[in-house]
Amino acid sequence: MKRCIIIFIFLVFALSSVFAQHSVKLSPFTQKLIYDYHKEGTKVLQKSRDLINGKSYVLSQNNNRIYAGALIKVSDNSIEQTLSDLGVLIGTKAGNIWSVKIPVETLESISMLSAISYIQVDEPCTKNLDSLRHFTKVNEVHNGLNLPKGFTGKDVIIGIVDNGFDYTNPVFLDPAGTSNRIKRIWEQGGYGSKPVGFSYGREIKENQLSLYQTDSEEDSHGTHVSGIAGGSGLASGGQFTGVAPSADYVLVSLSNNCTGNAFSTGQSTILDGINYIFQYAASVNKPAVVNLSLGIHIGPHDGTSLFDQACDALAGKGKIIVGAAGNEGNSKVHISHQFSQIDSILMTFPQSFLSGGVDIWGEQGKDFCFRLYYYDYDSGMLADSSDLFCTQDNLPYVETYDTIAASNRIRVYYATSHSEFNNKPRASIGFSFSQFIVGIKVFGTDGKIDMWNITDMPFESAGLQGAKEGDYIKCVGEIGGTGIRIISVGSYTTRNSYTNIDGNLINIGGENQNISSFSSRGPTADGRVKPEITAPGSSIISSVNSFDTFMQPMEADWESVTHEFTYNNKNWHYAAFDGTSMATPATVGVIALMLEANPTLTPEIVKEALKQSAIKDNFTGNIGSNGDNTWGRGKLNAYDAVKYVIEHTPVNEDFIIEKPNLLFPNPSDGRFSIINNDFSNENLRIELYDVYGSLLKSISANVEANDLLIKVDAGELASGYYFVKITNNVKNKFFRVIIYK
Amino acid sequence: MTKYLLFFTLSFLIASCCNCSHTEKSQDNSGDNSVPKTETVKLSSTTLAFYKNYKAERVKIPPESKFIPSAALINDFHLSKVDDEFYINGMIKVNDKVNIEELTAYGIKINTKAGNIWTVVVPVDSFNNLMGAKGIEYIQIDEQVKIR
Repeated sequence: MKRCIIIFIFLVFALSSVFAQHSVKLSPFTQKLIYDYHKEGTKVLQKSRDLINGKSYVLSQNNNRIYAGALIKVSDNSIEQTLSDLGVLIGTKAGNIWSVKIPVETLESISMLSAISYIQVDEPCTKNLDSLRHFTKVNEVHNGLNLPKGFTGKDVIIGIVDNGFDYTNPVFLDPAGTSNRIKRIWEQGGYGSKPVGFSYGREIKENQLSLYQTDSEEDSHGTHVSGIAGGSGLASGGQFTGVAPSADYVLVSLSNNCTGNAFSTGQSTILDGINYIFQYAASVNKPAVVNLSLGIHIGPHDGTSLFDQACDALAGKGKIIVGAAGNEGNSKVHISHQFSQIDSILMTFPQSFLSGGVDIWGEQGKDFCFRLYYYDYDSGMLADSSDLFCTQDNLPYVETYDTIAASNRIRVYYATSHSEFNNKPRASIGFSFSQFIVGIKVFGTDGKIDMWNITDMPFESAGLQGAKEGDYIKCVGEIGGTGIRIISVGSYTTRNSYTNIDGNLINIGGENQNISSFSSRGPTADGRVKPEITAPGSSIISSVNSFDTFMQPMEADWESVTHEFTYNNKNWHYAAFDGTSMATPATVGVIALMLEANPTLTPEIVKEALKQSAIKDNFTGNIGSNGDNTWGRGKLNAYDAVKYVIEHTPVNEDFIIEKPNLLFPNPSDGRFSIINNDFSNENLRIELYDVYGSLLKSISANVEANDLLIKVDAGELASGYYFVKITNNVKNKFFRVIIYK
Repeated sequence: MTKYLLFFTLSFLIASCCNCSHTEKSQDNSGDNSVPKTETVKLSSTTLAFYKNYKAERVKIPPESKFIPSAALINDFHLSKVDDEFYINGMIKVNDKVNIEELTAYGIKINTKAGNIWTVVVPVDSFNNLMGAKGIEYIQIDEQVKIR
C-alpha cells in the first residue's frame, strides 16, 4: 500500500510538471496518453497493438500511423486546415465539438494550438457491459466477494422469447468454449418436429444445433439480449461477458411462417414460449427466468388482460418472468379523464402516420361515447365528423368510409363493448387517412377513462382550445409492464454516447446515471407501482447476429456497430442498442444469479430482494416504501440482491428457520454448534442439505439431558450455503449455515 | 427498431381493410353480416374484426368447399399454415363447462393451459365452432406485439 502511494505521488508530480502549461485543455485521460507516450516513446505504440483492441486506449492504425480517437472543442473553425496538415482526420462536426482521429505523436503539438480549447481522447467505450456489470455490482457476485462462493448462473435456465438469434455466436458457448449452452430452441414459425405438447413450429435440440445457424437474416435483437443476460465474453476477451455467463439457454424464436422473416407474433405464442421454457426447466429440475423484451399498448394495462392472468398462473417457485416496461417514457402515449356532470368531454388528437388507432377503457358500469372529427391537414379547418358511438351499444365491429370530399375518404373502424372480460367498458378505434388530422372527442358523465395511442405516438392538443395533451404516466406496456407477477424493468443511462466502429460519435443524449428519457413510467391503470426496478439500458454494447444483413458495412444498422473481434477464425460484431429491451436481460441475468443461490425463489421473493437491495442515489431520490413509478424500487443491485436471497430466504417455504444466533459460528469452516433447547435424552438425526434440497450428509447423535450444545462436523463440505435439519422423527428444527473456507 | 414500429403500425392498422363491403357514411353492421351475439362468448375487438373479414370471404364460396383465406386475411391476422391448413392463434378464457373433446373434434389444438386461460390454434374454418362451443367465455386472437 505504501509503495502504491509513493508511486501515485510520483505519477501526479510527473504529470503535473509535464502538463502544467496546458492541463486545462486536456482531459485526464488525454494527459495520461501523452504521459505514456513521453515515458515509453515508441514502446507505447508497440504496446498499442494490444491497445487497438481497446484494452487501454481507443487507438486505430492506418498506414503505419497510430491514431487516437478524440473529441475536440474548437474556438476557430479555420483551424481545420492546420489540423489536416498535422495529419488529423476530422469526422463529425457538431457545432464547435468535432470528432477527430489524432496521430498520437502529434497529440501534444496539437494541444498547443490556441484555436483548440479542449481535447478529450476517447475513453474506452468498449467497457459498456463491463460498466453495466460494475454499476449493477455483478462483478462482486461473480467473484464471490464475502459470499459463500461466486455465482454465475450455473444450473439456471435463461429463457429468451425474441427474434434474431445467431445460434453459432460464441456468446452461447460455455466459459471454456467447448460446448454450446443452448439446450433447446423452439422456432415457432418453423417446420419440422414440434415440441411435445405444442402444435406448431420446430424444436431444435442441443444435439441438432450444428444443423442450424439463425432464425433471421434481418434481425439481431435476440442475440443482443442473450449476450447481455448471459453472454460468454469469449470473443471479446471477457470485455462483454454477460451477467450470468454459466446459465443455460432456451430460446424461443418468434416468427410467422406466412410472413417470412419479419417479426410477427402475438400474445398466445409468447405465452406458449414461456410455458415451453418452464416445461423444459422442470424436465431437467432447474429453475428458469424468462426474458420478454416485448410490448404493446392494446389492452387494459391493469393486470387483467388474458396474457397477464395467464402469466400469473404460469409463474411460481423457480419460475420467474421479467418484462420490458416499454420505451414510451418521452411520448405522451396515454391520456386519462375523470368525467362529471360539469366536465363531460375529453377532446384530443392521437398523433399518427397515415393511420392510427386508440384503445379506450372505462370503469365498470360507467359507459362512454365517442365521436371522431376530421380536420383538413393544410387549412386546419374542421371538415367533417363521424356519428356518435357508445360502449353500451356493444357494436360488434363497424367499418365505415366517411366521405369528406369527392375524392377524400377516411376509413374508420371500431368496436365497442359495455363489458369486456374484466367487466370494463371498452372502445377500440382505428382509422386511416391521407389529408386529415383526426381528433377524438369522448363523452361521459361519470367515471374515469384511460386511453392509449396504439401507434406509440403522443396525444396532442393540436392547438385547439379545450383539447388536451397526453401525459407521461401509465405508459408501461402490456406484455412486459403490467402483470402482477411479472417483474417489469425500466432503464437508466450509464452511457449517453459512444464511438462506433467507423469512428463516428453517436450521441444518445440523456444524463449518465439518470433515468433514460424513453423508459416508460407507471403506474398501471389499477394504480400499482411499475416498473419494479431499473437497470442500465442506454448504449448497451452486446453481440449481434452475424447473419443479419442489416448489420453489415454500409447497411442500415451498421452505425450501431462498435467492435469487431475475431474468434475461431470468424469476425464477430458488437453493437450498441438502447431500450428497456436491454435493461430487461440485465435484470434477467441478475435473477439467474439469485436463482443459483436459491432455486426455489418465487416472483414475490425476487421482488422483495430487488426492493431491499436496490440502489438509491441523488438521481433516484428518496424512494418511499411503496416504490416510485419512474425508478421502481431503485437501481438494480446484483450483489445485495444475491446476499439478501442467501440470508433471508429458506430453500423450502414450509421450513421454519430457527433464529441465526442459535447456530454458531456462522459462517463456519464446516464445524459448528447448535444451542439445544428442544431435545433431551434422545437419538437425533442431523442432516445437511444444499440449496437444491439434496441431502449431502446425515449424522446420528445422542443428546443427554444436560447437553446444551449439539456439535456438528461437516468440514468435508465445500464452501456454500446449506440447511441443517435436526429431527427426532417427531419434531424438526431447521437452521441455515454458510460454510466458508 | 423503427422498422418494427412502421411494420407494426401499418400491419395492425390496415387490419381488415380488405375484403369487406363498405358503406358510405353508414354503419356496416346490419343484417346477418354482424357477429352473432351469444349469451356466453365475448370477442375482443381484433377478434371481431377477423371474424367479420373471414365471414365476408367465406360467403363467397360454397359451404362444402375448402376455405382458402386471401393473402390480406393471412397477413392482417397473422394466420399460419400447417399441412395445407390455415390456422389462427389466440387465447380463450374458459369455465368448468368447457369440453376438450368438443374442441379437439373441431381440429382446435390446445397448447398452454394457464389456469382458465388457454392458448389455442384454431383452423380458420372452425372459428364458428369455437364461438359456439360450451364453456368458452372470451376469445382473443393474437394482436401484433412489438420488440422493445
